[in-house]
Amino acid sequence: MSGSTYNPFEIAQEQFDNVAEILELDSGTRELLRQPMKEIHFTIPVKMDDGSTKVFKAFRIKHNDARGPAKGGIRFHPHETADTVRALSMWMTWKCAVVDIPLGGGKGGVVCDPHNLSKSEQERLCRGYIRQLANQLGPNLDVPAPDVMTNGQHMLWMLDEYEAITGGRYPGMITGKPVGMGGSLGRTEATGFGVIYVLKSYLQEIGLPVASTTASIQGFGNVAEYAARMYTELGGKVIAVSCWNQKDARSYTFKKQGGCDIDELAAIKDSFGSIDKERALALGYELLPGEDWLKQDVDILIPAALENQITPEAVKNLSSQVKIICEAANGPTTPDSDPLIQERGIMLLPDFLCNAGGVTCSYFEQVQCNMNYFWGKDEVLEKLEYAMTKAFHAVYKLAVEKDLYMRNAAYIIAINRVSDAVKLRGWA
Amino acid sequence: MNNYDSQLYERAKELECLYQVDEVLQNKGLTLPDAMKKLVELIPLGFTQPPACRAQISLWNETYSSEDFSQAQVLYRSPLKIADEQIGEVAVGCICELVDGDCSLLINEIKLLDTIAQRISQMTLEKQRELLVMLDMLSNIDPDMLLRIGEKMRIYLKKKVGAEADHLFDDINLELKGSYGELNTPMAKPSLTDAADLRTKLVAAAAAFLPQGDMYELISRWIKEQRVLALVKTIDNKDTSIRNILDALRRYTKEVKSSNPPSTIETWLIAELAHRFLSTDEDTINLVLDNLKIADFESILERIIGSSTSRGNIGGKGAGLFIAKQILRQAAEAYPELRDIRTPLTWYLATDKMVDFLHYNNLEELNSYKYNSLFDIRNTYDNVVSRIKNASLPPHTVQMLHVVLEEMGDVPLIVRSSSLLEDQRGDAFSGKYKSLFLPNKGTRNQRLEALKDAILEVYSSMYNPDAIQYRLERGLLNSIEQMGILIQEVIGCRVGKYYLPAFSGVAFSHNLLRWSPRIRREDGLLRLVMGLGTRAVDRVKDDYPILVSLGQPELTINQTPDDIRHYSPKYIDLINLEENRFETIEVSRFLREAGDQLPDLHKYVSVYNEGFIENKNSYSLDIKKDELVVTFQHILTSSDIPKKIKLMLDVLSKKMDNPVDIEFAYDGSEIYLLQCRPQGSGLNSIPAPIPQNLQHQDIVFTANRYISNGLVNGITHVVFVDGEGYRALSSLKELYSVGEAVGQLNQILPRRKFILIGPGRWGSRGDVRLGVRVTFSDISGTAALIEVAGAKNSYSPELSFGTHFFQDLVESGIFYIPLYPGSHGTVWKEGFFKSNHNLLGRILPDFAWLSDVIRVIDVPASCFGQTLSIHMNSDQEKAVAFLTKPEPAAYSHPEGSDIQRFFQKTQEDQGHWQWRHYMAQQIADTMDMEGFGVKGVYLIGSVNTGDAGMGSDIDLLLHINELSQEQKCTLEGWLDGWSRALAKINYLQTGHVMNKMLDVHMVTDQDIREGSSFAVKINSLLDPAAPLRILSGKTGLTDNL
Repeated sequence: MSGSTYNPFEIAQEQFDNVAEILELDSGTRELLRQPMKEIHFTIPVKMDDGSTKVFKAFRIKHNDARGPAKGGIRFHPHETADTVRALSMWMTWKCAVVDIPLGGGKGGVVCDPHNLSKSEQERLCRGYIRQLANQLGPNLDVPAPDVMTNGQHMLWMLDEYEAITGGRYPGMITGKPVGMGGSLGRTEATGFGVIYVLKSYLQEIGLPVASTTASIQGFGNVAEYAARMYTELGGKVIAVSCWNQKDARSYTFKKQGGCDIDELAAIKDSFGSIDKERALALGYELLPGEDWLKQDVDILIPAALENQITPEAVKNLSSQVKIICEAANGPTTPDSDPLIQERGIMLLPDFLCNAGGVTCSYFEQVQCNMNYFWGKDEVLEKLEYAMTKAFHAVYKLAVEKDLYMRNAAYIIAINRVSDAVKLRGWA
Repeated sequence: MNNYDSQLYERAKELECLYQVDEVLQNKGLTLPDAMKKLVELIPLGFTQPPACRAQISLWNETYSSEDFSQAQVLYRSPLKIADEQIGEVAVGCICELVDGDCSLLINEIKLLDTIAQRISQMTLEKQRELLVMLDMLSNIDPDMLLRIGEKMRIYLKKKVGAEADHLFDDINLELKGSYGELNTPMAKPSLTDAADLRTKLVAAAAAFLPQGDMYELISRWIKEQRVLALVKTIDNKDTSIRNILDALRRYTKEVKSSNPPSTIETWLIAELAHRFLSTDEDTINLVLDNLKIADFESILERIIGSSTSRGNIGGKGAGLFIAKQILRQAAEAYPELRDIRTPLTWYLATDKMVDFLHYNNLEELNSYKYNSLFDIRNTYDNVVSRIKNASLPPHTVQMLHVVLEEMGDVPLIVRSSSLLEDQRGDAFSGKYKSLFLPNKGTRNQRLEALKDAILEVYSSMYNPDAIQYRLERGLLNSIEQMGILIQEVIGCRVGKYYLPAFSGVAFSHNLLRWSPRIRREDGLLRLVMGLGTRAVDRVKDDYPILVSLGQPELTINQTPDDIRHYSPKYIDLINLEENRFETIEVSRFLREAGDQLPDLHKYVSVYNEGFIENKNSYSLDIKKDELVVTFQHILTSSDIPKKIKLMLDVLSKKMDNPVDIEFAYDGSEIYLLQCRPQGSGLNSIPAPIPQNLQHQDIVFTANRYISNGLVNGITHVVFVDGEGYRALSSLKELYSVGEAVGQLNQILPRRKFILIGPGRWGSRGDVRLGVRVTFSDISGTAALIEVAGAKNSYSPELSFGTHFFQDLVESGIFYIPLYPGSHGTVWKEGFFKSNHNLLGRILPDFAWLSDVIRVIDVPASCFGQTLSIHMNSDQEKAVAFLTKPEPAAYSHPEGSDIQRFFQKTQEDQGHWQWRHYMAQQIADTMDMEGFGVKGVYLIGSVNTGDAGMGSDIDLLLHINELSQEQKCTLEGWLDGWSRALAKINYLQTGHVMNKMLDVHMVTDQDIREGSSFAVKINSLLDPAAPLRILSGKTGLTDNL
């Protein structure tokens, strides 16, 4: 065990350094990209409901905006630190770059615990945040979004404060707004559908019709449900769905060899993403232990729930039929499993790329806001498919050409794109 | 001035004097002495030389005179007479030095004085006449009453006037003089007082000290009060029927305005009525005396169904609600908001009706049923139920039930138990006796039959073994228990085919589940659900009532829209009028089916839309399309309901001098109070006593902030995540693995016998450094979850609660304690956690590398066989964890005041383990292992470790071959038979209901090779599986391990 404290920023830097080494980036670019370009640390005094004043510490960190206005959420977190925000802003830069949307990376945070704040105190906090930062934000400068413990309501307060200060209407200044208040349609579906768009592109590449494949999915939350819907819509057969059962405090795998009916399962799931066990049994589903979703004889595994699910142990037990792991969740595969997956010749579609549907939709929200014209859902999803497919092909092409593991290829593409932009601008 | 003029002037003066005298005498607001004092000043004005003239009036024993009358020379006396009896005189005198010439009186002046004397006599007579007539009548009809009035007058005057009035009665033997106290000799009998004498004295007293009006009113009130002695007699006679009492009561309230403060008779009456119909408990009666008026009892008496002699009362639950209702009604004078708090229409079936019932059916033998052994009771209870349900209610009861149904109409009813012992002195009996919902649909006869049936079922629940065991444990077995019944309308309205209140809930004066340090205990707590309140009353494992801090509703427990959606009520209890039954259905189904018919639905639900919680109004809400989440947002933020409920709690807890919990329902327009009792039962555990004489070396930690109530005993293992070690981890993966290790420990360690202690916030979803990343399932077995604030963590000295699964903890009954080591007055023995032997490497060899971070301590092994206990006391804001001799079982949620009883362990506990162990051996011995394909039978879990309690199951581990489907079926069937049979036996012995007792885990050779799942137990160091039977020649197990 190392004696040093876990520091996400150092980890992000290490990750970058590895790729920079592969790309043989020059020292100037490396120096520029391994740290944020701009950091603002400030305090926000807030009048509390009881009349007292409390001062909150806040950050807005812009890692890089060479490719476009910075984009990144604002986190409300009691133990927020500058290093966390730095690391997350860097990851945003890479994430936007991998799907090739013209945005940079940023992140913000306020050291606070919303559990201890009333709604009106939170509103004053949001407005205070914007008051201090108004000249640093804007549709063409830096575009915040919801993140840990912030949501659409916070975004609307912030937007309102921003517009009050600037004296105009700039809905593109922030994303994550509710539909009808500058939000985009299709956000619910975006991440799940995006996963399948990437999968579909890969299957096309290897000439395997979706309709001939089977999949097993972990989770039945938002992402999993829409991934499953799109996948079955394309003709694929979901053999098993694993999800948490709140009542029994354990997870179960629901299996139907003939293929699960996603509408049917969605109709009997609750807001936890728990499928009603009894009713599923009545519908003819087989009930298996939660971890059994990994043991199914299927072509595709879609972990869409938790981190660290695919461990070296699990890789050993995978059916020989498994060809693809499609990472819909964040970090579902443990790093030490990557070599094993590679060894077995299983295609891994990395989270980084697979679940970028969300950020792409945020970008669409901003675009629609900026032109003050909103697309129908079909149009959003159509553009999403285009963006995801294009992003996949770029990464896949690189991976094939250079014989890279997909995860590494995605990083390399992203960092390369940013360093190109930096150089072209003459920054390094 | 000529003589004529001067004479005219004198006459005018005399006349003026006479007018003024008249005026004084006519003024009924003046007391007699006041009037006389005025007169002595007035009289001289009528005489020739007013400055020299002085007057004096003597009336009865009193004399009123001008200032220096003694120096004057008396010139004339005019007697005061009533019916030829002289009662005094008016005298006039003159101070001669002040007069120029002659100081004799003129004829006219003598006339004037005589006239004045006459007027005074007349006035006195008038003043007395009415009284005299009244008193005369009394002395003829009811001499006793005259005596009592005399006594009352004496006391009244003594209060009003003081000692001055005493001499009036000096020579009358109204009472014994001298001490009532220490003398040991019998007291002399008072001589009979002469009625005429007393009469005179009374009149004199009246005239002397009281304005005329007052006197009359007082005496007439006293007379009425005495009349009410009839009522007193009625009530005092224990055999009077309720009907007669009600009649007497109505007559009383009609005739007598109640006084404030109440007279002693009123007090006696209230106490007597309370004693008779509400409770015999001293505190309750005092509460009633403080808050109720006699008239208030009418509403009970009008709807009580009692036996002819009415020896029963309305039971604890009924009394609690009734008293609370009266308190609120009274408080509504000061707080108009409380005016519209209602209570449901209630009929009371008095407790003695059950006695009648038993007599009527010759079931008296059931009286001694409680003294049977619990085993017998469990065995025969079904039989008792069937006997009672097949018996019939006495004709009078049935007759009254017709009346009940007549008044209630066809509104659904709830038949609730309200026994003598229920809700008294902290004995909640929650869930022991039945409450039954009746849809009350069909023909009159069908409804009556259903009502009768429900009553019989509630009666039978008195013999429920759980209830009898509860009484046994509380030392209430010998107390007289009788079942009263409340028949109440169910508050609600018809929505489609359902009947339900818009919402209902429970509210507590003290919030013991604080999720933010800003929430104060006094803020109170509200648990709200849609529909009937049954789901709010108890913990519901797979559902979440809305929790609200009443004092600060803005500090919500769930913040993100996802959490709000997640932790919202998912089920609803209601009455299905078509199916004629009580149902629990999904909220979503209810809203789909009937949501559009629920008025003001938009006030109860919000809309979840793409990560946004929106509150819509009735025009924008689309029931078909929107995803509806029950939040009560509108009710909580834009209505006065939370304020009203808080006020209700404040008023009730202040009056009852105890925090209270209430149940209520809202029918869409008004709040109805359904129940009120002292807080300390139900959801909140009772405060555990903090032991005072602990040795310092036994204390492991103490806490003094944000403490809830509770008691955890017999902790055998502690899982401690060291804050420093945790922060020193350098990679995300390492940090995550801490959570994984905890998750595995949760599976392995004995359920509810271990506690988790870790830095910061457990289950942090954001930054993993905030606290160990776990999900609820990773900690579900712990008895308590303890979060330690790190002084060295510079970012956030304020530990925040609301671990995001806080509500899961609440509903699962896992205690939560925040610790602030180093804060003033707390103990934190880090050494205990750091220096004791760490088992982690032995239990989870894969995680041995985390031994510096996670420490698993076997408490008995490290501390000479002692276990850890945690006592939490919210009243004292104190919690202490200390080492103590092992308590055989943990009762973490005792409901009652006498917690000590829970420490005294039933000797049965040893038995729980022994017979389970014996049975496990029997199973192994009788198993056809060859036939089933079983290689070995092992015992794991609590039966193996010897701490099985009455609710424990038997965990068997079977080492099996790859079984054929048929083999598997037969084996499972065979085990299932055992499992069900053992569960039944366990029920008969302990009353603990379980369907199956065996928990069988099967492992194969491969599992054992890989050490996966339960196979690790076989060679576990912590609690190794004990082999019960191993098929010879096939003991490949240990070889592999």
